[in-house]
Amino acid sequence: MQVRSLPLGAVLIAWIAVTALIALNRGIDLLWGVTILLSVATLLALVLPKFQLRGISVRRVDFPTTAVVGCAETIGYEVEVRGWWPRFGVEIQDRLQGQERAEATAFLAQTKGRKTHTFRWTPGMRGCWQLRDIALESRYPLGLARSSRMCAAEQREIIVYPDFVQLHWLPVRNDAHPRFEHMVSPRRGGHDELFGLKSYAAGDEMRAIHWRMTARRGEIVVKEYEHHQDRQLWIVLDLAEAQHVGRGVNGSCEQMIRIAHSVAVKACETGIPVGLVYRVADQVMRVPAAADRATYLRIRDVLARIGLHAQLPLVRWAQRFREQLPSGGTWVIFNLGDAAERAALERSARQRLAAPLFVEFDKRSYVEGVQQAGDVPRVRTHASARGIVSTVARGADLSELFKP
Amino acid sequence: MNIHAPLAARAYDSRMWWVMVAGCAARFSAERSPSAAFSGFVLWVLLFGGCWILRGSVRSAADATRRSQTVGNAIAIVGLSVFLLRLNSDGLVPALLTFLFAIQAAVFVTATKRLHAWLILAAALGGLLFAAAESRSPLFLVGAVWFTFAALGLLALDQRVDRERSMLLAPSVPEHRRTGGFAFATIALLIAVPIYLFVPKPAGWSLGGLQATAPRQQREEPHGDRLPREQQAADAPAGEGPADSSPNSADSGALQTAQPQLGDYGQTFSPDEVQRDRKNANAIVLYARSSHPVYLRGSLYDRFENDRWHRDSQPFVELQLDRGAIEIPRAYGEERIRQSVELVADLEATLWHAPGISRLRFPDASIRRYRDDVFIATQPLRAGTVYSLESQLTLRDGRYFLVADEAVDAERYLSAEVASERLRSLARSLTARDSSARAKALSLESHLREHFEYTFETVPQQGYTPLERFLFETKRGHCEYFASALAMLLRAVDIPSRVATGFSLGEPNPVTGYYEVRGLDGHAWVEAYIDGGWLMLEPTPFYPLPQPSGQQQVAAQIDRYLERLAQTTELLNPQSLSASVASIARDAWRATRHALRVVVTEARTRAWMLLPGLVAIALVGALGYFAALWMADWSDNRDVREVLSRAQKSDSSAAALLTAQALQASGKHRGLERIESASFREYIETLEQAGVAVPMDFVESFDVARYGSASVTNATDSQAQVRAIVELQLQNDPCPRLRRVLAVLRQRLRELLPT
Repeated sequence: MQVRSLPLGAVLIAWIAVTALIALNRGIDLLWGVTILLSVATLLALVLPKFQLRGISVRRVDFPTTAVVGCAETIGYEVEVRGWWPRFGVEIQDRLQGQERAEATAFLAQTKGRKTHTFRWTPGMRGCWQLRDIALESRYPLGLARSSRMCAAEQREIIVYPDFVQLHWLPVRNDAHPRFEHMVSPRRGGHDELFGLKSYAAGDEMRAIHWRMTARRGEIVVKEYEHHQDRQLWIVLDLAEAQHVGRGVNGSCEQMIRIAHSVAVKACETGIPVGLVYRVADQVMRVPAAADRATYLRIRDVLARIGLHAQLPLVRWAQRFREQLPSGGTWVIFNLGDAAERAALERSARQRLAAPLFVEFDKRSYVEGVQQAGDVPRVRTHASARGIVSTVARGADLSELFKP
Repeated sequence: MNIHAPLAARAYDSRMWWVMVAGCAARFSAERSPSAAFSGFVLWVLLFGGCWILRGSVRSAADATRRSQTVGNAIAIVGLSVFLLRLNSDGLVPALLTFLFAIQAAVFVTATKRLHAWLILAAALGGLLFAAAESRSPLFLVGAVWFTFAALGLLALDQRVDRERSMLLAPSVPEHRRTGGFAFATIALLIAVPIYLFVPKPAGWSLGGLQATAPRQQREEPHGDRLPREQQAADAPAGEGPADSSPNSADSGALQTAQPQLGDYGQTFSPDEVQRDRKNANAIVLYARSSHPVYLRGSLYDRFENDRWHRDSQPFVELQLDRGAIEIPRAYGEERIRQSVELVADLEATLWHAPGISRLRFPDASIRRYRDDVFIATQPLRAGTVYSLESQLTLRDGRYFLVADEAVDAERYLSAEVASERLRSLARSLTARDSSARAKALSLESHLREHFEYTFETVPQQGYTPLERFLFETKRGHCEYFASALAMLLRAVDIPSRVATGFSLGEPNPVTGYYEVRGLDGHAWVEAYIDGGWLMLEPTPFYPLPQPSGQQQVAAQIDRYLERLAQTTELLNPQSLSASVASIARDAWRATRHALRVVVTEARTRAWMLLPGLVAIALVGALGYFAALWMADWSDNRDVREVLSRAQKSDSSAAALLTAQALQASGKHRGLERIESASFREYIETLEQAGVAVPMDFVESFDVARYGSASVTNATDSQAQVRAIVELQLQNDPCPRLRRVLAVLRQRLRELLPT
C-alpha cells in the first residue's frame, strides 16, 4: 500500500506529542522548551489566518471585457492592506471559470500597502462570466486552518469566446436548387427577404440602414435580410443535455461549440454566408446567414453564451418546428452517433431542401475518456448519398474535419 | 498533502539544507568536549554544503535521475559502513546519529518529491530527540530553536507551493520566494519565551522504569576488602563493616565531605586544594536531575571526638540487584523523589542519593546497605555512570522528614561528652522558650543561620572543627563548622542528631533543568531524630533550607541560579573576572525581573497607567521599525550609489548602459530581477507588464546607443538617441531612486552632448 497523502496537522500533532512525551517522561527541560515552541507555533498556525484577512481590501484592475479560450490575458488585482504588518499567503477567489462559487484564483505570497498584483490568465472555458464579489482566503502559514472573507467588488462581465481550429475542408454545396433559382436576389449581397430589424453593429452594410426607423428611434437601425441563395451554410446546434456526453472542456458540448466556431471562421474566410440555428427556452433562434463580419461576430457571441438545457433534442424539434428552420443550403448537424437519429435528421434537412453535413461524436471516447494505448484519436469522415459524416473522437485533431 | 508531489521550487534546497544544519547544531551541542562538538559540526556542515553543490551539478546533467541516485546510494553505503564501525567502537546512539546524518545527505542529493523533504525533516528531528536526552548544554536550546525555525520555514514553503499549484492564475512576473515562515517562527518564539520562562515545568514521570547505564562487564576490585557472605544476615543486618569504616575517609572514619576524584586530571580532589586550585574545585562532578531539591547524601557520622567526626562500625547487607534494579521496602513517605545521577568525574564507591531510597536502578549486580541507610557500591564509581532512584520522604511543616524504619538507638546519637558547659548553656538559653523538640531544633538552626557567617577561609582545615572557637569567638566558618555546632547543640538539649555529608544540589541550570553539581557543592548538614523520624536541618546560611522550592518557573530558577553562581564565584575569588561577570549577570537579571514585576504590579493596581507604558512601547517599536526600514533602504541603495558614482564619469554609451542598469535596479526593488538568460528587450517587457512606464522606443534607443546600429549613420544621430534615453518620461515612476539616477544621468549628458 502506498501512502499518497499525509495531513500536515496530524504530522505536527504527532511531532509535538512525541517531543512532549519524551520531555515529560524523562523530565528533559530542553525538550520542554521545544515542545512549548512547537505548540505555540501550531496554535498560531490555527489563529493567524483570521488576522491575515483583517484590514485588507481588493479590487480588480486591468480586467479585459473579452477573451478567447487558450489566449493569455494579463489581469490584475489591486490589494490594499491597512497597517504595517504585511500579509502573507493571501488567496484571491474569483469566478473566472464561471462557477457559482468563487474558486482559488490567485496566490499572493506577500503583500503590503497598496499594490497591484498582475497575473497571466489563459481562459480554459468559453462562457460569459459574471464577476461579483471577490472572496479572500488565507491558510497562512501552514495550512492547518482556513479563514475566508468576502470583499465587495465592482461587478464585471467577461465574455470568453471559444477557440477555433483552422479547417482545411468545408464541403458546402455549391449548386443552386431549382426551386430557388427564380428567387435569387438581383441585388448586390443577395438580400431578398426581410428577416427583421436590429441595432447597427460594426460590419453592417451602410445600405442596409433603415433610415426611417433610425430617425424615429434615435439610434441606427439596420434591416436584416435572409439570403435565399443556395450556397449558404447553417450550423444547427443541439443544446439538449441528453444529447451530450462528457463534462467541461473535454465534453462533446464544448467540442460542438469549438467545431461550430471553426466552421463559422472557415465559412467567413471563404465568403460563404453562414448562419446559426439553435433552440432555447422553447424558441427556435436564428442568426441569419450572411458572409459579413457582423454576422460572424454575432455567431461568435452566441457561441460564447449558450449552454445546455433540459429540452427536446434536435431530432424532435427539427420535425416539430421545421417551418422555422432555414431552407436550402448546407446544414452542419451535430449528432451523438445514433444511426436512427441521423436518418431522422437527414430527413428533416432534405425536407427543407438542404444538404446535411453530419458531425458525430465517438461516444465511447467521450464517456471513457482515456484512450487505449496506441489508439490515436482521430477524425474519420465518410461520404455517402445520404451525406457526409465526420466522426470525431475525443482529443482528435479537428483540422482534419471533413477530410475527404 | 500529496507527499509525492514534486519539489518544484529551488527554494526547497536551501530550506532542506538549513534543516539539516540546524539539526546538526543541536546534535553536536550534546558533545561534552567543545572541540569535538565544533569539529563535528563543521565537518558535517561542510559535507552538507558539498551535497548541495553536488545536487546542483547533478541536476543540470542530462541523466540527472540516474546520477543523483548513484551518488545518493554511495553516500548511504558510506554512512552504513561508518554506522557499523561506530556501533562497535562508540555504541548504538552515536552510530545511529551518524547514520541518520548520512541518510539525510543521501536523501538530500536525490530528493525529487515532497516525501524526501519530509524524510529529511524526520531524520533531523530524530537526531534532535536523541541529542536532547544526551545534551547538558543550553546551546542545545539554541540549536533546537534554529531547527524549529528551519523546519517551520520548510513547512511554510511547502504550504505555499502546494497552494500555488492549485491556483488558476500564475503571476505574470515571478514573485520573490518569501513565504512568511521567518515572521511566523519569530512570532511563535516571542510568545513561547515568556511561557517557557513563567510556566512551571512538570517533573519527569519516568514511565518505563528508571534509567541507568549498562552494568560493567569486567568488575573491578571493590573499594576496601569485601566481607564474606557469612557475615551477612538474611533477615536483619548482621554483617558489620570494619570499625570506623568511613566510606569517604582514608583517615579512619574522620568526617569528610564529598571527595570526588577528577578523572580527567588524574589527581585526587581535596578540599585543601580549593584555595589553590579553584578551577578544578569548581569543575562539574556530576549532573543530577531531581524532582525535589533534596541533598545527595553520601555518608553519616555519629561520634564527635577530638574535634573530629567519626562513623562507628555499622552492620550491612549486600543487596542483590535484579538486572540492575531493586525495590527496598520503606516506611510510607508521601513525597516521591525521583533522582537521576550522571557522573562526570570518577568518584569513590559511595552512592549519592536522596535519603529514603525505595527503588534503585544501578549498573551493578549488588550494593551494600548499611543499617543507617548508607549505600556503598562494590567498586568505585567511574565517570559516565548513570543511575536513578526513587526515594520516599515526608514533608513536616515544609521540611523534608525521613520516617525511620526501625527504632533508633537514641543514646548513640546523644553522646556529647565533648560539649562544654558553655555550649550546653548556650543551647538551653536559645531553646528556653520552645516546648517541643522540633521548635528547639529550628530555633538552634535559625540562630546559626542568622548570627554566623559562612566563609571558605576555613575549608583547608576540613575534617577538623574547633567547635568552641567557632561558636564563641570567630563565628565564621564553612559548612562542617555549622553542622558540627548544630549537631552538638541539639545533643545538648537531648535531641538525637547526626551529621550527614554529600552534595548540595544548589540550583538547577534553568535552561537544561540539570543540577550541575561541582566539587564545591560538597556539603555537610544535620539530621535530627524527632517524632520517629529524621528531620533535615540546614544550619549553614549559604545554603537554602531543605524544603521544596516554591516556584518551578524558569524565571525563578534563573533568579536563583544566577544568585547562587554569583555567591559561589564571589566566595572563591572576589576579584576575579568571572565573579564580576556573574555579579553583573545577576544584577541585570534582577533589574529585568524587578522591572517586569513592577509593570505587572502596576498593571494590576493602576490599569490606567498602562496606557502611557503602551504608548512608550509603541514609540520604541515604531522607532525600531523605522530604523530597520532605514537600514534596509540604506542597504538597497548601495547599488544605486554605485551607479551614481559611475555616472559622474560616463560617456554617452556608458550613460545608456547606466540607465539600463538603473532600470534593472528599479526592477530589482520591485522584485523583478532580470533573469540572466533574458534579453534586455524581454526584461523591459517584464517591467511593462509590472506597470513600469518604460517608453516603447527605449530598447531601440538602448541598442543604438550601446551597440551602434546600421540605421545610425553618424554620431549626431547616436547622440540624439542617447538624449532620447535620458529624457525618458520616468518621472512618474514610483521608484524615487530611479528618478534620482535619471536626474544625474540627464545632467551628465547635458554636459557631454551638444544640444
